[in-house]
Amino acid sequence: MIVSFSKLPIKTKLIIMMMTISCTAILLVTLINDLVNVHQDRRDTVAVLSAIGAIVAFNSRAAVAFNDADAANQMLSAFQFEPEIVQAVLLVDNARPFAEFLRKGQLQDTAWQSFDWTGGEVFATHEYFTGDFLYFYQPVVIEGELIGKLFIKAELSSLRERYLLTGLISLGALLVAGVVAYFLTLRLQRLISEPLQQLVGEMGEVFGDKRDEEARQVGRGADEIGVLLDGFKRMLARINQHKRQLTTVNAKLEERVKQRTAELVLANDRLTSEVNRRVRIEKKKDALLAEKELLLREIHHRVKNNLQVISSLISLQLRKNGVAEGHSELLSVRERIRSMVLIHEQLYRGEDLNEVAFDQFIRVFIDQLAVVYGATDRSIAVREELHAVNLSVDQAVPCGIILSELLGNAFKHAFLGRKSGHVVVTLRQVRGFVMLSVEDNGWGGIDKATRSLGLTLVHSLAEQLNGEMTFIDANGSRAILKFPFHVTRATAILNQANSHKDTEKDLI
Amino acid sequence: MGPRFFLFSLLIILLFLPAGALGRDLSYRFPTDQVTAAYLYNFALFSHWPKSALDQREFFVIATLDKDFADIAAATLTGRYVGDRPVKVQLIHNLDEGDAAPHIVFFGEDEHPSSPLLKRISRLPILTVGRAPGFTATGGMIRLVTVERRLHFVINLAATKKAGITISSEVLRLADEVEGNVPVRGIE
Repeated sequence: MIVSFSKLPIKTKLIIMMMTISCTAILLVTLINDLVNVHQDRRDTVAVLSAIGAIVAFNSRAAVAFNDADAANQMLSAFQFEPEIVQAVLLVDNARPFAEFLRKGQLQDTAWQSFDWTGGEVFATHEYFTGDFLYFYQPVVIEGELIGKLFIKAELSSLRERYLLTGLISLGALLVAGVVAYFLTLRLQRLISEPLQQLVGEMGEVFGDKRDEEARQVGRGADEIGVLLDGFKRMLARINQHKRQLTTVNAKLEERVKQRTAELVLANDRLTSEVNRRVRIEKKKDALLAEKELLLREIHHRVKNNLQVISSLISLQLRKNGVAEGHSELLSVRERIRSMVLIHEQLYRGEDLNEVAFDQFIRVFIDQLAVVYGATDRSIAVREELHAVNLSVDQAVPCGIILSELLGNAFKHAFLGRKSGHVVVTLRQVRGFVMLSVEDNGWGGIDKATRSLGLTLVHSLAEQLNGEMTFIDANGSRAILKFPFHVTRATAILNQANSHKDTEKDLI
Repeated sequence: MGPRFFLFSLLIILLFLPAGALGRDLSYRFPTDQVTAAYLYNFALFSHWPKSALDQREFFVIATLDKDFADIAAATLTGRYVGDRPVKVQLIHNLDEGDAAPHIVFFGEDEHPSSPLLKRISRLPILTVGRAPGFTATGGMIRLVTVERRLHFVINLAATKKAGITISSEVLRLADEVEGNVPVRGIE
């Protein structure tokens, strides 16, 4: 039977188990309840009979004492109002009937004859059940002396009928509870059986429908749990197989990792030595560059010093000649040389030896020329409108000489006979060109002096710069030099840095 | 004159003796007096005396003026108790003022119902029982009557109440008649 049960599906098993448990529980509860009721009813009946018997026995004492059987019979006749009591006998003198009550239609029972009057507790009540009847003995006592016994026979068929009715009600309740339990079980078993069936289905998809042969042979669980057990066993076997494979692969991988690590260590050592070698080269290169820079500075310094010597020699010559013919030309030459001195000084003092911050050069040079030509004494104001422009040495030297010529012209000729004036020097960089202009509000007529040495030099230098000179004569003079801007290395880096900054700002 | 003559003479004498004296005593006084004594004892069990009356005596005393009855009653009730007091049967001729009052006084059939003793004790807590006709009418409390060889009794409830004695309803139910009250048996 158990083997047959084990072959049932889990759903059926669950229904059977839950129904069995619930029905057994309900049956037990009902049985216990009925037994308790029966016991309680018997106790109640005995208690009622005890009370009635005690009252009747007490009230019969005088009748027994005065030997008044009529009074005793009359007393016992009160039992007719208790339907359960079918017979009552008042016994005296060791079971001699003194008075008796017998319900109509009932046969006389002489069970009292077999009652043991001598044994047991004399003054205690006695009761026992036989079939549907309860037999009860109540002593009749007066002043501590037993003068008789009251025998009562009660029929309990009404109790039996009540038990039958209660049993039928319990059976009905059991059936109803069984039906309710069945429907509840049908719903509840799904909580367990459906996930199991789902698992079995998924396991079937993984392993197919083949079952473990061993399980079939031992008849182990033909239900879903049996299938799951098989599946689990096979899954375990597969896991173990995979584990073994993984162990093998892991061992191989570890071997390869060791090999690769050794190779990487070797490569790393090589790289480290290469990096060290390159660092050494870089340091050497930096040292060489520093040395080169130092040399370049020294060269610029020496060029500047040489030019300074030349300038000093010209100054000595000027002082020796006094204001004679050619003084002005010498002065111009000296200022041209001093412009070159200033450019070389800026070069070796600056951070970059290849270019000159030309705006800064202009500021210093204007001050220098203003002193030389006494512009301040003559109330000639110079205004500077300078943008930051860096020029290479190749552009800065001719550009500086041009500025020297133009400013010298302005200070010397533009304000002759005038008490004041002003000069505006502008430096800008516009669309790949550098614009340098010198403007004054003097007498004008600069374009007429184009044949002078200075202006010839200016035009020559402008051509050297691949630029052009423009002279405008209106409300004074205005000379404009425009030449293409050669991007120096420092300017390129500066522009690149500025471009990066602009990009970062845009991103932010 | 041999032994046979002596036995014959004795038989003749016995045959001619007055049949009344010995024969009546045996048939009449026994067992009626025994039953009477038992009734007196039962009355004692089913009656209640004032507490003061019980405290006075060590014994429960049943007194009688009839010597024969006293002897039979004493023999019948020896060893009996009422409550925790042993029953004692006492023969009295007259009850003096100084004597301790008994609990029950039994008046025999020969006693006159208007006995001065009955009058004197009628207000005392003494249960008076008698056999004489008209006993309850002259102040007695219980009169015993023999009907068809069975002892019946009539109770004068008014007299018992006057004496402060309470007789149990169980006894009242058994009485043929309860004077001074509605007959109990009649109701049932």
